[in-house]
Amino acid sequence: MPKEHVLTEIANEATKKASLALLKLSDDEASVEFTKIEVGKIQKVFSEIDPELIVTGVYLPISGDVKGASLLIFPKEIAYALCDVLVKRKAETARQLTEIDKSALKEVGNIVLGSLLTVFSNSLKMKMIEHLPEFSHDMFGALVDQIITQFIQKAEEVLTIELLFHFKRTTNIKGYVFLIFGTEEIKVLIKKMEEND
Amino acid sequence: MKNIEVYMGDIAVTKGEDNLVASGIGSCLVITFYDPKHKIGALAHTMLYARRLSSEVRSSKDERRKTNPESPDTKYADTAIDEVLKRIEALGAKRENIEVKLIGGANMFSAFKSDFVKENVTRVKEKLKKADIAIVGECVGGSQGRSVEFSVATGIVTVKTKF
Repeated sequence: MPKEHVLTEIANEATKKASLALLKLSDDEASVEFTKIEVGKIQKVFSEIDPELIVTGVYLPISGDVKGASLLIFPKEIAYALCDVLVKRKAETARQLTEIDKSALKEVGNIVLGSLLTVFSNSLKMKMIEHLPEFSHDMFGALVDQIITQFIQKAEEVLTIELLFHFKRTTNIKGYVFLIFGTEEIKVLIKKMEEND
Repeated sequence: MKNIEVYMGDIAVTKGEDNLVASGIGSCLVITFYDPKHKIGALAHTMLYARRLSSEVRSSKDERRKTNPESPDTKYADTAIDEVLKRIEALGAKRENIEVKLIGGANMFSAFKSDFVKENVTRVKEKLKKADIAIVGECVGGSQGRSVEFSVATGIVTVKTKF
């Protein structure tokens, strides 16, 4: 099966799983869909986003049969809107992130990245252990450079998934998931995807 | 005058009026070099101090650079410093005039051990000391992203954070 098809199936299943969990978390009509999925060169993908754009990032390290990194990114204003929904505040209330907001965003990261990794792991029959989520709020370039640096000697490609979150109480919210694996891991994953029937 | 953006892993060398810029720096270490007498400046946007010596798999680009001295791997500070010194001295800078400033080396996620970031800074300082180059300023460490603008006309390095 072509890897693009497998990736689409994985993303579809993962977003369904994430939608159910988000519904419980937000107590609102909530769903998440993916609007774009692609594999590209790390530095090219990241250079297309303004390095000074203020974002919130939830980082989940991956270990097991493949080692890697997963990162969920929301631009600042989008993160604020999402926090208003999750913490059940009036829309456009958040102007800075409280500890509760950070915790809520971490939980969204845990749900979305965890769903994706679980489906990846089950579909490809590979052990992928997710670790505790880490949160950071700063310039996009600053957040990703530390992650890239961890992989720079052995990774060239990143899997990018663009997500759209739908909530009844606010306009659609766009976020991005980045999955980074080492060169050898990417080869193993692609081989597994192509073998997947 | 123009702004020259120096991306992760790259270096830039210039003489005259240009600004050298590096935006959104986290754990990376930016090294600015300046010869005030000759108005020659350079900026290296480095990621690690040196290639890790292990049997781990390297990218094909790394392999090409490793075997090609014409294209040194400037994402590593040790090779970036050598390459910058070679280029600015070729432009007329004198080793005894060169002033260096260090910016970056933040730890953006606490899950990452900050040891490697600190080690990068320490090893860069050691290398510069051995090369008899003066470090005249630094803004390193912490957990905040930074952006750097280096005016080669004045030698002023401006560091911005978003908070």
